[in-house]
Amino acid sequence: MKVSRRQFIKIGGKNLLGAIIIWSAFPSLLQGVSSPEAVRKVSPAPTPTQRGHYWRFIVDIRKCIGCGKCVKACKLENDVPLEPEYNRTWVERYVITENEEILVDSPNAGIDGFTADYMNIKYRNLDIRKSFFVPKLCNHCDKPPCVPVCPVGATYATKEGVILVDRKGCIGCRYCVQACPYGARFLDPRLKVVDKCTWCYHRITKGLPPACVEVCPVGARVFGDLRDPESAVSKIIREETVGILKPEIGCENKVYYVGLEEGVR
Amino acid sequence: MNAETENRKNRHLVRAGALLLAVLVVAFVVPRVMPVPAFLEDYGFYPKRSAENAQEWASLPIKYVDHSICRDCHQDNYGVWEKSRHSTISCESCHGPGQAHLEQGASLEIDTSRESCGVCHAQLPSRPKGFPQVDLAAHGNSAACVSCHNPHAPQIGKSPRIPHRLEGHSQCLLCHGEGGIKPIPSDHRAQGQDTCLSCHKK
Ligand code: HEC
Ligand code: HEC
Ligand code: HEC
Ligand code: HEC
Ligand code: HEC
Ligand code: HEC
Repeated sequence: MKVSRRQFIKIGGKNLLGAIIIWSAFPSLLQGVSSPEAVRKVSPAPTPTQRGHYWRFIVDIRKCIGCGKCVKACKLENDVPLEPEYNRTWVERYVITENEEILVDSPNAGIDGFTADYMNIKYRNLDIRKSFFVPKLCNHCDKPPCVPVCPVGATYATKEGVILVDRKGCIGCRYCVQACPYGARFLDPRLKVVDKCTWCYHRITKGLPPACVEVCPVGARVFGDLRDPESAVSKIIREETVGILKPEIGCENKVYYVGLEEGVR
Repeated sequence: MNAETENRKNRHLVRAGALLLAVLVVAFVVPRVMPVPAFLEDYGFYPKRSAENAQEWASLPIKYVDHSICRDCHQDNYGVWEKSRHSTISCESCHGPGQAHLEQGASLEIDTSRESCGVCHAQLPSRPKGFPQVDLAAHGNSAACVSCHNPHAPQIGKSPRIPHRLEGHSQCLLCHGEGGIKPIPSDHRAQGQDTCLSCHKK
């Protein structure tokens, strides 16, 4: 059979059109088996209350006394290995000398606090201009560099903005550990999967604060809902000058710092 | 004739271009609109079981319970703590996670060492200036901190002066202990007269 070009295009076009019509009818047919995300897309835009929480975490450097209770509580609450190299949160001591040198240390991640003896041995001969503690944790970025690098899609953001790792999916390749600009991820030596701060997802989903916030004696750690204008975090964001670590990277961190000094990274 | 073939050729091109555009639109838009069937998400190169996994994280056990639960059984400690300068410190911050204590009656940690207070109060240049700090080596004659300060209600406010003489009054607790003439407040640390005199002067 000889088909002219014109005929070919005509027949082909009709077939294509038919295919599109059938195909576009499919979503409704498939709804029963499709993923919840896809279903959500077709439903109308949610109202603010339906949208659920959107969390923020605030660290007040001016208040922190470096007792390390948060580091300990985090490890006990989340069953993190007790060795100093595995931490979901840790406390750094910054010492800025009179000749603008910035020294940072975190003995044992700060879990036992910082002792006076240690300070004297290490910094005895220095002219200290100022010194303070900086608690660190995963920043749960809105543009997380760690998520897209995962080759198996095992790390993701929940709709409340919490970055989690699927332990069943993680293959332990450590790409995300490398990608995180804040050193917030590590490989759990027992499970051989990547672990990180979850903002105590099991607590916040039940209305409790993260364990580190619960034990902080001075209120240097505050956790709450950005969408609630009356929450403690919303108030602090309105009333204080807040900053984020390494803003130049553009990760849109959700951990804000009050009293952030230049040179803190 | 030349003009007519030119014309037809052009129309031809326009049509082919339009078709190509339509195909491209379909190729890009349709996959975005089409839901990926659930079975593909589990086996695909990018497994997307995030909703399920978030549930797994949410169902982990809680170990640090809320401190208000402690009030149910420890009214006395809770009562003085609530009104004290230490009320910003959760019970479990000093005593450790309470879950096992509530569920199995496991005993909690009680640390009366000077270091246990020192993690917060030892003099350090890195701490905020306004925070109460002491020189751990010198303060309180190396006695246990809790022999002078009540850990649940530390108070160093204005200690009233002793209105009576000290001679013949060395056993302070005889008169100021429980059931005495003038009992000390319930949030007081009462461990012998050495400690009394470090706060109360004649
Ligand atoms: C600053 C740390 C700290 C905080 C906060 C704290 N405790 Fe204690 N607690 C101690 C110390 C230290 C002792 C041991 C006191 C002693 O032996 O003299 C103790 C003892 C106890 C005891 C044993 C009996 C007693 O009274 O000596 C109970 C019960 C107790 N605490 C309950 C609580 C409860 C409930 C809270 C919260 C309302 C709380 N504690 C908050 C440090 C603390
Ligand atoms: C259901 C009642 C109950 C609750 C709630 C409770 N406790 Fe206790 N607690 C007890 C009993 C009973 C003892 C044992 C008292 C004794 O041996 O004299 C005890 C003892 C303690 C002791 C002394 C050390 C020990 O373990 O023997 C501490 C400290 C303590 N509790 C802290 C807490 C804290 C902090 C909380 C809140 C998280 C809490 N308790 C909640 C009943 C309770
Ligand atoms: C987890 C940190 C922490 C621990 C541990 C701790 N404290 Fe405190 N302490 C505080 C805070 C916070 C305050 C309130 C400071 C303020 O109001 O500015 C305070 C206040 C005090 C005060 C009152 C100071 C004043 O100016 O009125 C005394 C005394 C005191 N603590 C003694 C102790 C003793 C004794 C212990 C050990 C049993 C202890 N603290 C353990 C955090 C701690
Ligand atoms: C012998 C009794 C005694 C002992 C033991 C003792 N203190 Fe004190 N403490 C006092 C008295 C009295 C004051 C108030 C007067 C002063 O500032 O020296 C005080 C004040 C304090 C203050 C408030 C300081 C300020 O500048 O506001 C803190 C904090 C404190 N003590 C913590 C401790 C700690 C921690 C220990 C254990 C390492 C301890 N104390 C042991 C008697 C004692
Ligand atoms: C023989 C009984 C007795 C002994 C022993 C005793 N006191 Fe007293 N004390 C009293 C009486 C009674 C008052 C009330 C006096 C008054 O209100 O004028 C009092 C008042 C006080 C007050 C003032 C209380 C206030 O409300 O201002 C202090 C402080 C005090 N005593 C401390 C001590 C100390 C410290 C010791 C041990 C060195 C001691 N007392 C030993 C009987 C005693
Ligand atoms: C850490 C410092 C400190 C120590 C140690 C201390 N007190 Fe006090 N005391 C105070 C303060 C502050 C007050 C006033 C606030 C209050 O009423 O609690 C006070 C109040 C008193 C009062 C008056 C109570 C009233 O009802 O007006 C008496 C009596 C007293 N103390 C006796 C003693 C005795 C006896 C001892 C030793 C067993 C002692 N204190 C140890 C700080 C101390």
